[in-house]
Amino acid sequence: MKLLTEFKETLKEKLLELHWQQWSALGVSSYIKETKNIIDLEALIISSLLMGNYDKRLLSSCLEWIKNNKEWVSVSRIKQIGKYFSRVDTGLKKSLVPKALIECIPVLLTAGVPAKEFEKLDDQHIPGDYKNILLKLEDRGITAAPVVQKYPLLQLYFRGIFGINARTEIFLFLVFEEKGNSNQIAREIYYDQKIVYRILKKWTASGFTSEETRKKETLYFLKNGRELAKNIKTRGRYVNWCRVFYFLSRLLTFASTDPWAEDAYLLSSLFRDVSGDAAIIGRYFNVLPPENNLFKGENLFAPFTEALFKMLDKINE
Amino acid sequence: MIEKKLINKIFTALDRQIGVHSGLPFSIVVCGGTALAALGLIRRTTKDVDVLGEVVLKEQKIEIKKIDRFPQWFIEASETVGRDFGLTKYWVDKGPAFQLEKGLPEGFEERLVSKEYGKYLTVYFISRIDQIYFKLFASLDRDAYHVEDFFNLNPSKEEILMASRWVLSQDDSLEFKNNLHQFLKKKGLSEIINRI
Repeated sequence: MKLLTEFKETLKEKLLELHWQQWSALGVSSYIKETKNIIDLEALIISSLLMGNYDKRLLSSCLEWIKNNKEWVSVSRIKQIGKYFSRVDTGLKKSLVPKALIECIPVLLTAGVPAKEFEKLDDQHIPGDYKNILLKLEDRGITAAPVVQKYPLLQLYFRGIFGINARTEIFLFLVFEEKGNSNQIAREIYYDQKIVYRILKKWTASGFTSEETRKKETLYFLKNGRELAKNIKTRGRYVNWCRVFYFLSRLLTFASTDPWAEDAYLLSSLFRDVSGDAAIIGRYFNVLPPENNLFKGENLFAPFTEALFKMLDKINE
Repeated sequence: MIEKKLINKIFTALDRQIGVHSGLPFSIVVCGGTALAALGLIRRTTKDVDVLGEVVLKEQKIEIKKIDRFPQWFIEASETVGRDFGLTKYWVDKGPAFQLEKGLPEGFEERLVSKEYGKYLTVYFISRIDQIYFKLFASLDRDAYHVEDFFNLNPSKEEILMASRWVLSQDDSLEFKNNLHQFLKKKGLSEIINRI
């Protein structure tokens, strides 16, 4: 039991640190150092809604930042990423973040007096403490406008140039991954494929990107757009933060829910379920999860958690 | 392979997965190598768990019901456990279910040894004497390891006689009777033949 409690607490602390590091870089006042990683704002917002279960200050800071910096947030991506987090998890038999809670963000971004809208919220779908925070949301002066020239805020920097649309995410994807077809890019950046396709076609016509048909797919590369990408890639790496947050916060949710919370075997079994994602995410940070086959039953628990924490330490470096 | 020290872990894991997949109680009768190892009758490994049927308690009396198909949630739970412990895909085998149609030794249900593995799974292991009955039956027409198991159970002559009478009730053909006689003769147990 002690082992399990320690796992949950350590995961929670490291995951909260990850969120705070990113919010600090965005201008939220905190003692935690700013992240060096490139932030995905919408993934961070949705994941912070979930992490609000463990840290209400994080939740209220996140909401206050959104309220004061509406112009930087993409409603479309909030909805797309929100769908990802609000689908019903087959294991938990509930969603990680209630749909009704995700729907509050567009309200916060658009409504003149959002508190009035939040009064209508159904208590059954949104926890009472969340509703209270939403209703009493006031400017405590703990958030500043983001300094978009900061490297981790590349997404906002390019939003300043391209506007709040798929162009920034497509561009950043091509900077770091170098090539991709419209389907693959759309999946990775959480935009509709048709929108991504149309932008890539226009960019190719203007010479910003070029296309190459290989077998059954058309791949797009930066062409003239490479000039704009200079000095960006050398400092950072591409991370699908939505995938990272979903993976980590799902593990934390399981570790906080019975019967997994009290059972090292069930958590080990869950680790096997997510080992594919763990390998993909591990590759971003050069930490590989253990070989499942080498550890029977709950024997996977220790080596997997060790790799997981190593991964989180690298993220939070 | 399932070793004795793994049996408890595997059934406990199965209990937990049943909890996750359905939360419904499930009781099964287990025979074969797993039951032999679980009750400490014989030390050997096995690749699967032989399930004879499902236990249904009716007014505190055990009734064994044939399982035509395991419930979907049980299949999912057992496949997950199989993956987690590196077992074969069909490690839970309901092959021995045919025995229910042929008939069980008298008093079989009362001799079952039950073990609860958590909130959901109860396993009823068949007793030593019933293993002797089943192993003699299997020895007459199947693999050599059944013969080995049969003698490793150290049956007394009286137990072999009772088992012989029971196996003949399972197959009344002359060929089968001859098989039994030949088996007993070959094993130096001719004296039992006249007493059957």
